[in-house]
Amino acid sequence: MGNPYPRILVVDDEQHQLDTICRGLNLYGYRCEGVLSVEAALESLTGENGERFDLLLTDLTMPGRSGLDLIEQVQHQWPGLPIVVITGLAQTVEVDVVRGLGVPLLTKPFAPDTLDVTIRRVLERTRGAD
Amino acid sequence: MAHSRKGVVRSPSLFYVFGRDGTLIRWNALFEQVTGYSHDEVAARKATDFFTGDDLATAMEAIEAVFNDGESSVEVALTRKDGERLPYLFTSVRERIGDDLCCVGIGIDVAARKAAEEKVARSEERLKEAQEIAHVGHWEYDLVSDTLFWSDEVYRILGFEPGQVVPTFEVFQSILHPDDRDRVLAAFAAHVEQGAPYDVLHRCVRPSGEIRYIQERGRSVRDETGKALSSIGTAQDITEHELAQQELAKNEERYRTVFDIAGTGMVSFGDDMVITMANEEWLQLTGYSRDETIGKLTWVPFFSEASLTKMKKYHQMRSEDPISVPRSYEAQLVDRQGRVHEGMTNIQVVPGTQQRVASFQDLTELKRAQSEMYRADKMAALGQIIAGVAHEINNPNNFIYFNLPILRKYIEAIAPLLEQHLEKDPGLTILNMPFEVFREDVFKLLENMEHGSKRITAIVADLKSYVRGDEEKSWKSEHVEQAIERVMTLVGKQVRKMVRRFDVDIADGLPAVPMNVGRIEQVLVNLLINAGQAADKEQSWVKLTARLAGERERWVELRVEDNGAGIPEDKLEQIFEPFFTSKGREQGTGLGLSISQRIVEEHGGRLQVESKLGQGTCFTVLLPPAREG
Repeated sequence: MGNPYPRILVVDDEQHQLDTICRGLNLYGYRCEGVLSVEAALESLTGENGERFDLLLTDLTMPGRSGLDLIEQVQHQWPGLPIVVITGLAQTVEVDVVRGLGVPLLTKPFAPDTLDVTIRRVLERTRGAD
Repeated sequence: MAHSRKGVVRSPSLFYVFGRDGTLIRWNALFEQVTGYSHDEVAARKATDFFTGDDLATAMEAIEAVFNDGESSVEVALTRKDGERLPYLFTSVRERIGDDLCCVGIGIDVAARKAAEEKVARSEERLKEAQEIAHVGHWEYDLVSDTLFWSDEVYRILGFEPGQVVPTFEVFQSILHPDDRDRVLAAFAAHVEQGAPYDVLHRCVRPSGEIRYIQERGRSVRDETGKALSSIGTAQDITEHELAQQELAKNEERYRTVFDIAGTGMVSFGDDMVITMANEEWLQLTGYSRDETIGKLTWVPFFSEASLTKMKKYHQMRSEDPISVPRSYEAQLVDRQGRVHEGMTNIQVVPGTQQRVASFQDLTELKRAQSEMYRADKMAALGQIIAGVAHEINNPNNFIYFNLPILRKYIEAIAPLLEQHLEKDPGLTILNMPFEVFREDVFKLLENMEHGSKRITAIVADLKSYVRGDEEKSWKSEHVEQAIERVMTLVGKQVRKMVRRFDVDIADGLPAVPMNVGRIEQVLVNLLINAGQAADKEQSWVKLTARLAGERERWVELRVEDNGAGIPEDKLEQIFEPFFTSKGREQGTGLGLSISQRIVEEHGGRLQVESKLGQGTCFTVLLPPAREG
């Protein structure tokens, strides 16, 4: 592993969800920054340390700009930044779009092990592609 | 002077002789009888005294003519003594009797002839009138002289003023309607030559262009050799009648058409309820042929008890208050095969008769489509609700599901500290429990919560599956062998672990079935796992068969049989209800069979069950194969 502590930007509009995910990820050896909206996420990404994140983990359904917006902008602006989506929805148009974009998707509820495995796979694949 | 009575007394005619001055010289007895004057009275009168009014002038003129020209004949009425006037024909001659010129004559009573003449005239008038009224004219055709006579009415019928044209056979031909001409001429020729009755209905075209319908009838007059001399007959204008007939025929045809193509089963029956008329639709609906129906079957046995009761009640109510009941109402018709058709019936009495015309409109398909639509709407709405609920449950459930492993990690992390403490204090109790018991219980609690969270997840997933609409892209014609193959890779091993024997038997050459393969696989997995879970015997088995079944092999049948515990009869009805389960809660959500039934119905098929408690259960999936061609 290039970076022993991969840095994850986590986006979820629900504070408890955000805390839960970040706590889990920290336990599994990731370093997290949690934000509550797409706008805040874009701010973190374009800031001084824009290049500091190894992966974007985002919810889909959020007030204001949706997770789908974020994915499209990130894929366009930071094509090297891998994305994982978490959602409570199973069969919706958004979910189909996400799958169509080739972005891995985790449906709630999921165990921290599952999240860890998913993230590690994505990171390995990204490194392999570098 | 006395007249000689001998020889003239019995004469039926009046006899008279009078002189130039009009004095009567001789007369017969009838003269006195007819005029009413006595012998002396006659002797005292002159010839002109027996006439009055207009008749007097006529008589005087005739008398002058006799003396001037020698003879005269005149029809004039004499006036009797009592004033009555009697018509007579007087024929007189001038005769010299002695030195005097006299008028000698006889008078003949013409009253009877006159009356007869008037009668003829009157009857001719009446005939004309009758002909005019009946539009009947008569004609006579003299074949020898080739002359044709038409009565006035014939002229009128043909569109002429009486006498306007000289009637000839050519004129007659020319006014015949071109489409009827050959037929009429052929009939007339046959009539004249072979003595066939001349009885034709034809059209003629009047000079004005108007078309009239004429009924002609004629007979021929023949000589002793059988040769036709003349033909006489009648011509009747039946245009109004004919047009009315045509209108009636048209109406009847229209009525018949409406009857036949109404898209509604229609029958007609009388008081005895025996069907006297039935349209195609009715025959198709009931499954009986026309011959089996007309005059043989009655209206009654086609209807359910409830429908007949309603009909009787409505009939009664209608006779009391015609608008108190609807004209059409729902009824159930039972056909030959015993199938019940839901529809609307309408029974009407044909005015002025005991006949009833009844209709039945089959709405079975429509109702089924409606309830299908209603169900689809309901499922779509339910689907949206469940998708929303699923999201709302999945999110908080994630707190439990995601955090429990972390909590377990936390507890596992502090466990060594507690172990250390235990070494120092072997009698350590927490909440009145010895430490070992407490520690074990903490992990049991964690497991409990994990189970709970997993079950929430499973129910939400099944609910979503229950309302999932057809994903059209997943539909295609496939052979059930392929579905079974995939099912075997999914659960074959698992089922073999559950029972001693697991057989699969697939018939050759099964037709393809239009299906959502994933969904049909879901059904088979569900039925196979159920069958495996039912195993309760040493020699337990599960059997999966696929073959053609049903009337005319219209189904592809998939059977899942087991010799397990079986289902109590009183529970058989409930097993397809959502959340009904005979298993422990740990083994399922209670949605499996209701989901399976929904899936099979989505495929236009049926899911059936047979079971004997303690002996086993057999689930049958019937799927309609793809239509050939």
